[in-house]
Amino acid sequence: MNEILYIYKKNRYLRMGTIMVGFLVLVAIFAHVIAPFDYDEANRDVRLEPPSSDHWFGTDEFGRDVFSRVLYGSRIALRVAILGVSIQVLIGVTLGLISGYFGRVTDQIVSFLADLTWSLPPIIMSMAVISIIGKGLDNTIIAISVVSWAQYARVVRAKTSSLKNMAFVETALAYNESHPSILFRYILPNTIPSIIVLVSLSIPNTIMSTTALSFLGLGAQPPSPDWGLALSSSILYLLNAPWLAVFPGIALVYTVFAFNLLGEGLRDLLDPRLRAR
Amino acid sequence: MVIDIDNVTKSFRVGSGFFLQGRKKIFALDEVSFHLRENEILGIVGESGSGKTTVARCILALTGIDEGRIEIHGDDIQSASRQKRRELRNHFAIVFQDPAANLNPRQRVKNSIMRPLILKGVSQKEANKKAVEAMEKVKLDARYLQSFPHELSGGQQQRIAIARALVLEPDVMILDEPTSALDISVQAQILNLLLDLQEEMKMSYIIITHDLNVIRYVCDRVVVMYMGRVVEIASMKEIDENPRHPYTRMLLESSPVLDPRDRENRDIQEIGEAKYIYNPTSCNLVGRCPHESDICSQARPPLEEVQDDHFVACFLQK
Repeated sequence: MNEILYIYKKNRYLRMGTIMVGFLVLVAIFAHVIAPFDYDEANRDVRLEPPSSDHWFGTDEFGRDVFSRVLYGSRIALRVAILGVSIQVLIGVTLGLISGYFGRVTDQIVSFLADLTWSLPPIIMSMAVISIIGKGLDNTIIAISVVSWAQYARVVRAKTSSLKNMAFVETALAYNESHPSILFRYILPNTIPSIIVLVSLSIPNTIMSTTALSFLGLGAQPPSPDWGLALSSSILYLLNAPWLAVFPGIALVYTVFAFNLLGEGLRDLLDPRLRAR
Repeated sequence: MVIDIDNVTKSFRVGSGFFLQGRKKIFALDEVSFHLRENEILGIVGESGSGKTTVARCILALTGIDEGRIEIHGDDIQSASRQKRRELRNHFAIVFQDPAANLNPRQRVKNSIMRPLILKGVSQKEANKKAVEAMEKVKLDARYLQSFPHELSGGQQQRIAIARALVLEPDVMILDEPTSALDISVQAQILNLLLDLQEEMKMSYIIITHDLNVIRYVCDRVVVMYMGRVVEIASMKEIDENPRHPYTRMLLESSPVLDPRDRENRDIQEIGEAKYIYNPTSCNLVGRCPHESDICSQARPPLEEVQDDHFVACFLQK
């Protein structure tokens, strides 16, 4: 316990990151309590009103409360973070473990696929995937994840191939440990610190990419309170009603910044060697 | 005979680049033959790259071999079925060099020690009991069972690695540089512990090391290896008093002398760098040997018994 307190005292990034992400999570959980209006509650009398005491962040072209919509948007952001990263971890870690442990042809195939997905711009690739599986928020998340698992595969592969030659793995093989058991009892637990760091560092990217696709109209569909969608529909009113763009934009920057801080902090804590990259 | 190694050759393909890949062969073991007797401490000594660790990995069938036979109590482990191989491996325990790398850093000591037993089908309770016993044997307090490896010192970690090896009650312990990562006083403790255990549990040891002082202190017989070949096999006493192979002599001379007054009497020969170039038609020591003659670069010296239980691979010893 003291150790944890000490770490928090020393590591400023981790401290700030935890507080900011914690705040975001609380907002997402209690959005329905905090928000004064429902996110799709339209009121024709107050269309495009600037921020006031009734509508803190103003109202949009349908008279919906921007403040409430931004709050509900945090739920979507977290959904993107959790779902997207889970898919990436599942694909990336599995392939990384397999290619690092078995090597040879498996490794060459996986490394080739990883390099291939990494060499193409993720947004373009995801658009291609979406054109196959159809648009919508969840499909967008899937598309983004399918093209961005490569960094997990790379890190886990490198870790695995160095771990598999360690004495404790050889010893385990000598007393007849099976290969799946070697992977799950000996190698995977030792890669977890790096995976945690990668997770918190890839959340901002995933959120940004999904937002970009929503902005292009491929992701979340109206009347969803998604921030990317809000930015997209604010363009028409940018000069008359800038609050439509400013507040979802700030929320987005805040979220990305929060996860980045957390990631940097965790990296310093768990895997200082990754710092060079 | 516990282990009988007969004419084992193991090569690795090396080479970088797309076209050169696998073109070059390096012989990690080249026609290696020796055996391990019951209740014997056998030392394998040689410089780095001489194939010492590869021998250990081949004996356990952790890696395949190109030619030859490795028999454990008369059964060939390399060509055995998976089931049989598993059974044969149960005769062994292995302890590697680096104490920190010997234990899974994410597992408590207790789980590391109990794991081999559980794999063998021993119940959790029984395994727990044996783990406590093993800790007693290596003279460590049982409270360390709850620790993680990084909380322990190098000497303690190595004791735990030995404890894990002991729980299986092996016939043979393979110790790959068991002490080289430890400081001198701890080395002595570990070696004494190993000697006591060997006497108590009637095991054989294969001790792989480059440290001649370790060999002198514990071994009954010594196998000297150079560039994947066995150059001399004899009892420790014979090696010390009557080394026959020029390489063994060089090795003995290069070992540090503990008494400063003796140091002046040493006659250190100027020897060249090792040339790791595989040449199937000459002695590997050509270019480094002070007694070279014509025949040395024309044929390879076979390992022959020059005296009772003293084998040497050198033309000059005939």
